[in-house]
This record gives sequence, C-alpha cells and structure tokens, in this order.
Amino acid sequence: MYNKSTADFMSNASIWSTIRFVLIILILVSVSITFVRTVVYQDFEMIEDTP
Amino acid sequence: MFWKIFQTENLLLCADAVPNVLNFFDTTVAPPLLFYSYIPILLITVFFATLVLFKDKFSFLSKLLFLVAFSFAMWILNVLIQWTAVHASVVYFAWQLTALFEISVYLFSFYFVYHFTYRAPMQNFLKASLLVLALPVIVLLPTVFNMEAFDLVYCEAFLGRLWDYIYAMESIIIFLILYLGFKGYKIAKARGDRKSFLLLITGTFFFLLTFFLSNFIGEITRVYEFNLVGPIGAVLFFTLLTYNIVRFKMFKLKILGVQALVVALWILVFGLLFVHTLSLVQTIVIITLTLITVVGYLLIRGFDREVRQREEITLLAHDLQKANARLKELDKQKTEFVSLASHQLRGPITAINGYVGMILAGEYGEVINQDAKDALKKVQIAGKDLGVLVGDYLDVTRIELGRMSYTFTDVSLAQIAREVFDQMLPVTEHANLALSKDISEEEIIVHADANKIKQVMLNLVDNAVKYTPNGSIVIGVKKVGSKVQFSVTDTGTGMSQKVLESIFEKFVRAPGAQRINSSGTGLGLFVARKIITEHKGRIWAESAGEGKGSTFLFEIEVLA
Repeated sequence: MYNKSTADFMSNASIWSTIRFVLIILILVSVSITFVRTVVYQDFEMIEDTP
Repeated sequence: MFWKIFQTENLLLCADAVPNVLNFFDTTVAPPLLFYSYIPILLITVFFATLVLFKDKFSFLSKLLFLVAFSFAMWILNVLIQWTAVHASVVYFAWQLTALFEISVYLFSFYFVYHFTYRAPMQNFLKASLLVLALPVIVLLPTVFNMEAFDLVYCEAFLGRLWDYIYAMESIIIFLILYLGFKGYKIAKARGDRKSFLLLITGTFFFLLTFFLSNFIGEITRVYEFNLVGPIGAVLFFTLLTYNIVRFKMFKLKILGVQALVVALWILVFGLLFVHTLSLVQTIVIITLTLITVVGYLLIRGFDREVRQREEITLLAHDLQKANARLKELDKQKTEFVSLASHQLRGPITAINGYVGMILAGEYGEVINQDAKDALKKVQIAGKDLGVLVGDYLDVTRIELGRMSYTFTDVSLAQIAREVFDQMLPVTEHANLALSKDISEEEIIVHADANKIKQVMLNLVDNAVKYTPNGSIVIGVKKVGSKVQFSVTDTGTGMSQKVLESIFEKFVRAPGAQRINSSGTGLGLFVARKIITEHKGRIWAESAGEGKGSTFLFEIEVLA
C-alpha cells in the first residue's frame, strides 16, 4: 500500500497544502450542515422523559 | 431561514431554564465553580499560547502549541455554552461540536510532542494516518452517530456510536504519547534536554489523561460535574511548560514565568468579586496560594541562578580586563624588542653592505676570481634586502610606538617623483622593463616630509618592478582638483578584488607573492599607508584582475 510512488506523492508540499485546504472546507461544510439541521430546522430527536 | 435563529421565541427552551443574560443564557444552572475554573483557564491558555507564538517568532513548535491551546479554549467555551445556554437547539449544537474540538486537542497535542521529540516534521505516513483518524469525526459530525437525541428535561444530549470511536482514539493517542516519551528519552538525553523533555511529556500525558478520564467518567455516570476536574490537567500542563521556559529557556522566552504568574493572579483575584459563598472563597484562596507557592518558588530559584550567573560574568569580565591589560603590555614589550633588535641590526648590515660594495669596486684590489665576484654580488643583493627588511620593521615599530617623526616642509611632489624615476631607471633596465614617466611639468608644491614621501614612491615603484615579469611601468604625477595624485602603473601580475581590499594591511601579501618575491614582508604597503595617512592623504590600488596589471596611487592636498 505504502510504496515508493505513494511516498513521492505525499512528500510533495503542494499536496499537503491542498489536503489542508480540503480538510478546512470539509470541516466548515460539516459544521454548517450541523448548524442548519440543529439550530435552524431543529431537526433532532427530543425526549421529554429520561429513560 | 437563517433569521430564524434570531427569533428566539421559535426555539424550544430547556425545562426550568430561565434566560437571565442576553435572553440566551441562564447562569444560575451552572455550578458557580464552573466560571471560576473554566474562564480563568480559558484566558490563561489563550494568553500563554499567543505570547509564546509571538515571542518565538511563529516557530513551528509554537504554532503547534497555539493550536493545542486554541482547540482546548474552544472546547472550554463550548462546554460553557452547554452549561449556560437555555435553548435546546443551541445546547444540542454545542454538544455536537464537542467531538471536533476534543479530537483537535488530542491530535495537535500528539503532533506537538512528536515535533518536540524529533525536532523534525512528522513523517508523511503518520500525518496521513492522523488525518484518516480524524475524518470519521468530521464527516459524521451532523449525523445521529455523533449525538442521538436530546433530553429536554435535563437539557443534555445522548452520545451516539461515534463516541466509542472517539474515546478509543483518545486512549490510543495517550498511549502513543507515553510511547513517544520512552522512545524520545534517549534522543533527548543525547541532545542534552532530558529534563525539559520529561517535563513536557509528563505535562502533556497528565493533561490528556485527566481530560480523558473526566470526560469519560462524566459521560458514563452522566454526572457532568466530573468535567470540571478536566481542566486541572491543563493547569498542570501549562505550569510545567512555564517551568520549562523559565528553567530551560524553551521557546526562547525568559521572563514569561513572571508575566504568566501576574496574569494568573490578576484573573484569580478578579474572580473573587463574583463569588459569594465562604466555601468558594476558601477554595479559590487555596488555588491561588498553591499557584503562588509553586510558580513563585520556581521564579525565585530562576532569579537566584540569574544573579549567580551575573556575578560570575562580572568576575570573568574583570579577569578578562586584567588579561587584556597584560596582553597590551606584552605587545608593547614585543614591539620595543623588535625596535631595539632592528636598530642593533642596522649597524652591522650597513657595515656589510659598505665593505662588500668597496670590495666589488676594487678598493682593496681587483677581485680576479669570477666565482668570488658572483658570490660577493649575491651578498650585496641579500644585504640590501636585509637592510630594507630591517628598515620596514623599524618603521612599523616606530608607528606602533607612536615614535615616527616627520619633518614637514614645502616641497615639489613632481620633483621628488623625477628623482625617484632617475633612481629607479637602472633597476628597471636591469630587470628588462620599460620605465617611463608622465609627470606634470608644473611644480606642484605640497606640505610634506620629502624623505617619507620619497620612501613611499620608491616602495611603490620597487613593488611594480618585483611583480612585473616583463612589460612596462609608468610613473605619473598630476593635479586632480585641490589634490596632487601620484601613480605607478604596471603591466604585471595584477590582483583580484579580494586582495585589493586587504593589500595595505600589516603582513598581508597577495597569493603567489612569496613565489615571485621571496624577501617581501608584507610591511612596505602598511608603512606607506601610515605615512600617507599622516599626510592627511589617501592611498589605494586598482587592478582589472589577476594577470592584468595594476596601478598604485596616492593623493595629498596641494598647498594653496
């Protein structure tokens, strides 16, 4: 799985900056979806009686 | 759709929650100690990490520490919202975000310790693995895997299956840090920062362990007051970091301990204003006293060490001063000795040169044997070289002892140059070189020591003869503005820019000069510069490069 070409690919600095960028976007999207679902639409299960 | 969040009446309230701050928070629900433990820790953490970041000029290690502190601060802020917010959806949102901040604290802490251990960027494979570990948390954040449901009565969320994964990941990272501690110990020992490394590993390990246990136990028992214990680990972490900084000058900081203590004390005392019960006051005073005792002790020890070091430096400086004075004295004695020796040598040399000259001139009868004649000629040349050498040494010692005397009179520089030309003509002819002059007809009068100026000119022309294997030499004198310029241009060996810059220094000779002129000392040009400087003039050399000839020039002020 982790052969030389993978190593070459991953040692490329621009690859890491791209990965970082994608990761930040992914986090922002994930948090936004969470916010919209929870706060805006209140789309979550609410329990009145603690089991 | 987004405006809905500002219409708080649309949002469901938690049971019994009465908003008393900004229509959003209910501060009466949370335990009073929450504000006292969380808010100061949040402020100290952020302050400390920012200070390190700026003082360590954004080094990679300080950036990582900042990321740890920032994630932790966000986690604390998030928990504060969970405790105090009154609207179910807001509290639930905060609960959902916990996962993100929590894994950031662990991942960045691991990266921080890794970097401190190896002082090198993390291996790509390991970096990619951390990324893969974090991905499920990011992707599953909005789903029921993160939070399953919300209990409106207790205003608490039920954790999803993702949290099994998170707790497993957190415990793996804690073990990895422990593993790094064992593995990195040898590296740190070899590097010489064993103690600093141990403190950092211990600090991080206990920080993450208390953080993990308090969250985990709080979660299992659903007694969230356990969470309050968690940040105590952070206090330990930052206290050890402070000690590291004060003791081992980590992050290139020195006084940070004092600043951290002052800020911490300020926050602790300020916090007292908001506490009303006696037991809480006592708790806070105990925390404050502990902090003062620990950090204060460390600071006093650090201060003692500084004072001792300063005393040692003062003593060393005193010794150095004494040694310096002694060296100066020795140097003076050496110069005196060289001066005396040179002076004593001059007499015998003059006698040798005189008598050899007389023998060769046939004053004591014709020298018939040709071999004997050649040998005498060699003695004459060597005697002259020795005379020049001793003369140079004597000049240098005079200069260094400040005993060089000058007799300034009004003289014609052009006239001196002509005399030099006449004197050097036989020498150049003997060396098969063409000597020509480009001397101004006008008599240019300067206020100078004629003998010394002549000595400089002779030295420059003599050098040109020695370093010109074949070709020509031109002696020039011309008026340039208010100054008169003397120049000797040759078609000789020339020199590089680097040599040009240092050629007038004492004992400096051009590379290869020894091969061409073995009797040179590297003092002639030094003496020449000193003499011209005494005449308030300037001396320098120009050359287009090695093998391209050179020009030596000096200029002095013309008498108005």
